[in-house]
Amino acid sequence: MSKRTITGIIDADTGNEIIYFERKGKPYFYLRDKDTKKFIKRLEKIELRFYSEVEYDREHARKKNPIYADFVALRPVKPKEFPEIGDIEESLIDALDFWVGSKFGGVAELLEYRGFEYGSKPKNPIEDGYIYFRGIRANTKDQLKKGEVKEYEGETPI
Amino acid sequence: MKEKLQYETILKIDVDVKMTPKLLSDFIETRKAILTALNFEIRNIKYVETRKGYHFWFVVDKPLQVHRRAEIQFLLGDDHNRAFYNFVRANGDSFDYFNALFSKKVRSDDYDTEDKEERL
Repeated sequence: MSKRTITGIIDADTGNEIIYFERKGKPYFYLRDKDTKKFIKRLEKIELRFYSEVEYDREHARKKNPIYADFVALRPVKPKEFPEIGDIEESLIDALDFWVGSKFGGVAELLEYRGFEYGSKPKNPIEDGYIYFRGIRANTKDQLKKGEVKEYEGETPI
Repeated sequence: MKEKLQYETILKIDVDVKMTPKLLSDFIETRKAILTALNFEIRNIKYVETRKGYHFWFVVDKPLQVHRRAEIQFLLGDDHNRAFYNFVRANGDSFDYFNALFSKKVRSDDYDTEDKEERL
């Protein structure tokens, strides 16, 4: 009997494990309890999200325009796509940078905190085959405190 | 967690402090006390160690509206800067999009991995 290779990632939505493996040549995602290792459910797809945030500290804000912004690009990943996850991550970074750059110009170069999430709960409100973008932006800290943020969304085919 | 997953019952906490095993145990016990004081039953607790500290997931017995989730995450000791922004996000429509716990961080100027990917 051949040994099955299992790749696991922490599910940002639950703290459990998203595991990937192949059985009889077919790839699968399952959600598995991180501690007991019991299967919770099979996942038809997971969601990969790439986040960028801008937040000027006070010193920066005195010199330049203060701004606060959150951006995310997200897309579904099916089990058969997982072996190419590195390329998919890079394409998501490029897609978000392009979207932010084309929409907000100079903001793109200010993006500071960046990271990926792998999630079992789909947030994408649009059909498969697209990258979904979402952003919020406040031009001053005062606007931010008052909740006067502008929200943006968009999409592009994968 | 064997029953149907209800994501609205899951509270996500980011703590950027490394703890000794004893302090970590005390931290979890005091979080339980906070949730119990707020009349929640705790269904499950998960955590992973990150480069700077820990990510926690607390599963409670009832689903919570977005703003209440943001408040309770704050009460549980979520990073205060993150909590401030989560209140803003909760006032709009984007809390669930941006209540993120990164699996992997990347630098802004290139694609060097800052955190080790949390593979198992």
